[in-house]
Amino acid sequence: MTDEFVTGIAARLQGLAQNIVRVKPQRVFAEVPREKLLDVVKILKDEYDGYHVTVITAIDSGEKFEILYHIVAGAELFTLKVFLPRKDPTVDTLTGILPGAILYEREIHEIMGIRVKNHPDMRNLLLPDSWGEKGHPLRKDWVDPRTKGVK
Amino acid sequence: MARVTIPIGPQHPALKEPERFMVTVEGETIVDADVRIGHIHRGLEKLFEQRTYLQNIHITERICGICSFTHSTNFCQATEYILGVEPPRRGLYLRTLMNEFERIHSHLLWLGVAGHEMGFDTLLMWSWDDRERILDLFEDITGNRVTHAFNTIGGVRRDITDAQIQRILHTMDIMEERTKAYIQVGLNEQTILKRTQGVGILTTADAKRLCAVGPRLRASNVKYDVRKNDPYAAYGELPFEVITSDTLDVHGQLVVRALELLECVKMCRYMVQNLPAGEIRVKVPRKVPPGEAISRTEAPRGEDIHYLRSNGTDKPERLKVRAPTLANILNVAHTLKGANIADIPLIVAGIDPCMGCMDRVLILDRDKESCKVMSAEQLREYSIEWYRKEAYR
Repeated sequence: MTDEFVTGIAARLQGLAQNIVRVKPQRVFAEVPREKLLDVVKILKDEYDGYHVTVITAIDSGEKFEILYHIVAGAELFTLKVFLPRKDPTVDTLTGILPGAILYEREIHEIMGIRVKNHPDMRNLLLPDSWGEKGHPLRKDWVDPRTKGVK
Repeated sequence: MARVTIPIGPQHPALKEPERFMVTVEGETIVDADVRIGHIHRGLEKLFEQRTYLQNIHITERICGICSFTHSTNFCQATEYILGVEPPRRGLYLRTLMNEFERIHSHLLWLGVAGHEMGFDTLLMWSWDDRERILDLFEDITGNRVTHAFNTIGGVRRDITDAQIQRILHTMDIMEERTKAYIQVGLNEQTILKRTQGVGILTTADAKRLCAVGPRLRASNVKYDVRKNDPYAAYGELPFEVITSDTLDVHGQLVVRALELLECVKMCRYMVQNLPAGEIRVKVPRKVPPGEAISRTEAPRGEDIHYLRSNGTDKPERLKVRAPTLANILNVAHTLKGANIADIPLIVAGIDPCMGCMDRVLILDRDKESCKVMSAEQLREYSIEWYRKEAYR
């Protein structure tokens, strides 16, 4: 499904984002390489009134991680997909542009083990302070340390 | 004046739920506030991946005890989007009706808690009594008062009868009359005005910057409501206004919620009077084809979002849930800065820095880098001594 809005934003984000599609009314998906993420978010904020980051979803899809930034821009709900290699799951922080992302970035850091560069406050959000090196529980290969050795 | 850091929570007699606030005060004024959440983290997102879609409807309902219905609506909608199924109109109307009932009971609950925190317990008794009427309607229609088990993928599970419609209309008449009384109280009662006006101001720019949601956002004069801006279920066909307030403070939130109650009553009446005939649900397969969908609803507390990815089996690959309170906790920490200690309970409605109740407090003197722990008796003597000196200043 394409329309004027999607064609317009695809032209504006030429070279920055690929596969811009509208899957249903008010839901636009786009794939963004991680080097270009901050540029895209800045354009969304300055030119499309995209001040509201709704949530950040992290998905473990085996070979790589997918980070989904759900940003409300005008009447649309944008989902920016960033693919990260499993060996080096590093991504830039959005907090310089959208300060509302601070808690969600803390969350993907602890539960999925995504390293967020330049983040101002990287304490645990949901897990206890004593969690330590017990791993990132939402990864598919995570094993509960309490059940190790139990038959 | 020396700065003192006071921990409030996670287990505290005045807290309604476990969360910890580290509040740094200078005299009576808060200069810094930090929030630590996660004390009741249950690992639900991991659990969703190990349960079938039908089981997940009932797990999502248990995310929150107050806005249980909005979460199951969200999950069912996301699954319906992937399946490409549209529930029958009667099912959508019933689903929307329950969502509005939930908003009425949640707003009344908030009003009672706010009244309690400002020392106006009569309001608590009144509004929670009226909330019972809505819970009775829930029990009448769904069989349950809190977790309703009413939603299902493809529609709803129970139909309503004409007798039930008459009872709903009767209750709505009472609710309208009572809500008008609350609006009079909220606008004229001195206890409320003195405790809420000018307290907890969040400017429009800050509300947008910190991504506030729901009544907090609308009380900061931003006209945004998912029901209007991204209509779901039957909201596209219903007559209602998005309420905003330009006072930016706690009183603005009270006004927004009270006026929203009137809108809810209006919508519920419209829905039962124009209830479409026909089926209430469609049958859906148990396995969901691979895909992804985002569903948004306006919970009583604000925007609620579910992201669902399916992988072709009968269990989801990933379900991400963001409840409105997580989005709002950031602006609470911001609003607390510069506020008065006595206003903490109102700003964080539900948190009361009841120092006397605390077993012991940690007194941290930033300038001297010293730290001592006092018992309740020592603290009491310290405060008596302090106020004795204060009288002669």
